[in-house]
Amino acid sequence: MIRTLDLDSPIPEYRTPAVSEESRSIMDQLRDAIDSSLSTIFLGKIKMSLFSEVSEIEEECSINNWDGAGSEPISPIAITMAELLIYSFPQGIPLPELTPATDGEIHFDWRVGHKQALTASLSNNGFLSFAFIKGGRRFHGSEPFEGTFPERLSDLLNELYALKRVA
Amino acid sequence: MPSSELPEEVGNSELLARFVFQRRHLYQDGQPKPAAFLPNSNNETSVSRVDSLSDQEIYIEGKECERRRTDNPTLYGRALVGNEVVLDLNLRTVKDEPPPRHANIVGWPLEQSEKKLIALGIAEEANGLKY
Repeated sequence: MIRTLDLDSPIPEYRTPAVSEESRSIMDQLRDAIDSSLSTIFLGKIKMSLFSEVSEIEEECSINNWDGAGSEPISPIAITMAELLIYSFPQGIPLPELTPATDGEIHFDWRVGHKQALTASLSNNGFLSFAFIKGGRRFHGSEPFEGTFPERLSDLLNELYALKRVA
Repeated sequence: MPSSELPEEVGNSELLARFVFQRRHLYQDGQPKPAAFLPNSNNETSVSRVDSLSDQEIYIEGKECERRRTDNPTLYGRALVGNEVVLDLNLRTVKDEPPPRHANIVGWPLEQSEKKLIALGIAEEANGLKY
């Protein structure tokens, strides 16, 4: 009988009363490995959906004055920078919304509720700039992007979503 | 093109409308994103003075802005914000007519992240609506 794994369903429990403790441990390790692979696959799906959005933005904003405010097209470098940031996403990063902006960059927007938001973008020369608001706390800054998901962004996302450390 | 009879000085609590012509500048629930308020290459953010206008009249004003533009845009929504929010963030709104009711939010800093924070601050105080 051929069995297929349904990615949308939880992994079924495979338990029989006749299995030894050692076998059970092996099965648990196998489940963890499958969980990890599925998480990786899921992260891959998230990244693919974001890459697809970047492509849409590239198509929509590839002309002069795409926003009616006289903005130049979103440049190929800006597209690449956005893709680099997406590549660096570790597991557990909440899904952002991607937004083309008049500064020629693609902004990554996370919002939890009223006055609880974070926005960030990578400039053409590889600098990450971001702004954060949570209640009365406001913060902005910039730093060079070094290829891995910025620790500052991780910290701010953790604070925004009140999560355990995501990366 | 005629000008309005609005006073030269924009009132401290005068209601301003930022009309949105880029669909990704609004969240699904109509809340504007910071990018909706970022200034253009002249470091100005174009707004309309809509104090005392009804929702219907504001919509008509938005459609008029859409009609006036030469890039064949689509009006996706509007974000309303009081001028006091602009002033609290150390910017100011100046009359810039014609066209009627047009004004610009000016005084933006040059530093990118600081601009982002101000735009975020305005967006979070704005009342957004998708059309």
